Amino acid sequence: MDPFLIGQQVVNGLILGAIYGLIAVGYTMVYGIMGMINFAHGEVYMIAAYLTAIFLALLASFGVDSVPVVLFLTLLGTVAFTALHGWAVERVAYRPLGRSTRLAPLISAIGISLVLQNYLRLSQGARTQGVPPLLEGVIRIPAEGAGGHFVQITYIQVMIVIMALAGMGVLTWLIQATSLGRACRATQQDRVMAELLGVDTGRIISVVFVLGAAMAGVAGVLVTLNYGSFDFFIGFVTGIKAFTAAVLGGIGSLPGAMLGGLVLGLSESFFSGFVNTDYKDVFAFAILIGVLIFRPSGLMGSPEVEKV
Amino acid sequence: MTLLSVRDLDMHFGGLRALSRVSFEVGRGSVVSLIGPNGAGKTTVFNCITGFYRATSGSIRLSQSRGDVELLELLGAPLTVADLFPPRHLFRRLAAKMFGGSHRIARAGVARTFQHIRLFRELTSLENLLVAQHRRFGRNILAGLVGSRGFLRAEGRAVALALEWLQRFELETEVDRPAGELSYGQQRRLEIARALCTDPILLCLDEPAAGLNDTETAAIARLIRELVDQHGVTVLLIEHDMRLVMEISDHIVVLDHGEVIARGSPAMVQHDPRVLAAYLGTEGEGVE
Repeated sequence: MDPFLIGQQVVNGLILGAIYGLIAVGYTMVYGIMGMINFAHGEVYMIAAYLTAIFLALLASFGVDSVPVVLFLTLLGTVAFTALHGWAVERVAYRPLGRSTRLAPLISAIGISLVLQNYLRLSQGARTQGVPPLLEGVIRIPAEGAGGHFVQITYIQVMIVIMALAGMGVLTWLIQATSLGRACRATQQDRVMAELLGVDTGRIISVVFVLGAAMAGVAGVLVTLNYGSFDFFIGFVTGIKAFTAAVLGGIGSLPGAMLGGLVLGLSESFFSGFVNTDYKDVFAFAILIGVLIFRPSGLMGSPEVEKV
Repeated sequence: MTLLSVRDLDMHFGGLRALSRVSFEVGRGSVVSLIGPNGAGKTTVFNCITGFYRATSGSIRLSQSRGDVELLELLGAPLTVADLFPPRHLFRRLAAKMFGGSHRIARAGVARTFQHIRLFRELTSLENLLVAQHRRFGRNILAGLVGSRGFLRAEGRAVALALEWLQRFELETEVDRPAGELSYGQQRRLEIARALCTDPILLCLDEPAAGLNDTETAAIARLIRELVDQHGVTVLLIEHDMRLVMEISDHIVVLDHGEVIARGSPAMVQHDPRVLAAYLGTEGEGVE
């Protein structure tokens, strides 16, 4: 097999995986702390795509044309707004159902997901939209091309990898080394006990939603800059894929979500590169089914222990 | 001086009356024990005081330096007509409805341990104690992110306090071990240390000596007495080990079938005929 083709699929897979990982983190953190799947999470990513376009247009109209400044402000603004969305989703859709059955928040999640999709459709139109490429240029390995063969990485893709690593690094540090993260881990292990020790667990849950949504926001910005086009429905498939990644890595585990994202991204990219592009989603979900059958706790999840 | 005063506490689970009109008081700086046969409602009383349950009716008042607080109110007890006036009272009640919850009880100064140890098993001993001090740090996420000086100082103080308690409870060698890996006796001590890290004025211990041998039980008894005498903590205790109870209690409240059947000093309670009946069966059933 052509080594350059393999190399190219590895690059594509890593980039796809980094995106899945960033979104999967939101699923896994919410599940870890509340034991429920936030199905509206994919929509936050979709909103980030629209926000990116809006911020790019705004900055252009103000005459800001330095690429790093535009990138930074777009990222900052988008993440701030998506974090706000994450906070609002929890307040509106989940908190009022705190004391009800396990199924109710799930239905509410589907509801809020439809609301978000359609509010974007109403306010921004149903057509596929796009943004102009902000950062052009590619790196080719080898630089002069070995007989027309090379592995190509765009600058945007390099940025995706860097941003994804940075995002996950900050998140891991926040959870493992700060007092807030300690309170999050305590709440995850025993919410009632944390509350009895004076931790405001409602606030911790808000923080978790905000962090998850911020990560999805980062992913939304990066993907939009990479692919350039989006519509109000992109959150669904990407959300489900990221959820697959979270389950694959072991839902509830932060490093698991990142690993799951990479594994899913790589296998999807290899499948579409060497077998068939049309069936790549089928392959991704076949992996999900396989994991659920053979290793339900995921790659890095601990087996379910019955709590006393 | 009274620290905690429980008045006419009722707790119903559906049709089951777990507690009916339970009243007792806990004096500041004393050790008060709740005793009674299994199923008498001792743990239910604890659960109501610490906000684990929401009592059906009654009142639990805790006197703080700033004045009395009604714990049931902090939990967001249902509003009644009497709450409508004066406006300041109504405002306080509405605020409790919105922001209330059992974390407010802990912040008011009540801490507890459980009969079945309930540590954060995957967190280290030190982290367990730090979580208990969470509310006293700068809780600002930004301050934590940039590591502001105030934040680091608060964190440093918290670690120092945690280490002090770990040493006091002879756990200084286990600082960085996950709590789930500690021995049973160590876990019991860590749980008490964690409760103390919330800086409580009232410490509720639910069977602290359960599963401990005689030496460990004696150590716990000494420790409880020291906490009261040297640190000014008030202790409310549930315990089945009568020797421990009689040794360290200043006052004993006896519960049976969800009602208080006797109250008094250890010597008084020991000779109360109703207490003997509750523990040994009624007089009629006894062998003549």
